[in-house]
Amino acid sequence: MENEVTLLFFNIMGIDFALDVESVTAMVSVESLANQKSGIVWFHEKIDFPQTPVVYDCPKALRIMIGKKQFHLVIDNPRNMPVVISIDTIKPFPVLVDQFSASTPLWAVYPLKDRLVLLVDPLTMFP
Amino acid sequence: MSEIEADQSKRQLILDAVQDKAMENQEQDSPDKKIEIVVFSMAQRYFAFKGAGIREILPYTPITEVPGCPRTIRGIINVRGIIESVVDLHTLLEIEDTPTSNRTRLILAQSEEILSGIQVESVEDVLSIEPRRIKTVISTLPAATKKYALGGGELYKEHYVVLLSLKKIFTELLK
Repeated sequence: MENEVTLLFFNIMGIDFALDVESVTAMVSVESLANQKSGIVWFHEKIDFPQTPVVYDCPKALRIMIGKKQFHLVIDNPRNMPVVISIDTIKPFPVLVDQFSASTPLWAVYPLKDRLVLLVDPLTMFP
Repeated sequence: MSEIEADQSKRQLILDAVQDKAMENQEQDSPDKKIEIVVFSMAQRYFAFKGAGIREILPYTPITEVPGCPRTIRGIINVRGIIESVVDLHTLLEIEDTPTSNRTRLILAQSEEILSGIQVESVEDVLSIEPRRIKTVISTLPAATKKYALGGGELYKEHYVVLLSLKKIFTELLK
């Protein structure tokens, strides 16, 4: 549906994130990338976390593809199943936050029950 | 630039200056008309905002941090379906942070186009006072407080209260 988007939710350091699965072609174990020398981006390398060091509990790698280009994005604690949501439920960042998030891969917020999920554009995270 | 364009540009500059002046004047009050202030405390010191800029006083709700934001912006909250930022006044005023408690409040405040939550340790009272009770800020105030102060005085239970400017705070955060 045009007015829906399918999101994969994950959580790093207690912060909820989600990304559109449209460009995700697979989710693989990080161990399976052991012999891969390049094309791997750990999520925290593109996002400045308030707390450091960033610790991953249960990392997984998403294979992201645009056209013929691909890379692996390592995230943490992904939910098993993506969720379809209406785009009407997506909220913009407030002005004071938007001025900073505009230069990051974060682009909007999805309220999920009593939590706020930060939406990430994986296409801006190419290595 | 043509003469017409230069003239239009000059007119715009004048209009902008007039608008700025009008906004400054909005922060000044008639000496006879009482104004409301919302008094709050942080680190055992007392502060206030003019009531006109306060939309709501909310109980504390967990704040979602947004990576990439400076420490002066604590994160975001959901206010009945609208996402609002939360300003960290402790960091801005360079005063000691304290853990949240059942007295912690989020003041939802507006100045011009900016609406944001501001976390404070406790809201003490909403007072109606005569503007003449607000004096020039005392010289011994810390520089970080003076920067955002409109004035001050013994406004609440004989405590010195610093009246803060929402406009100055939000303007600083928009830089």
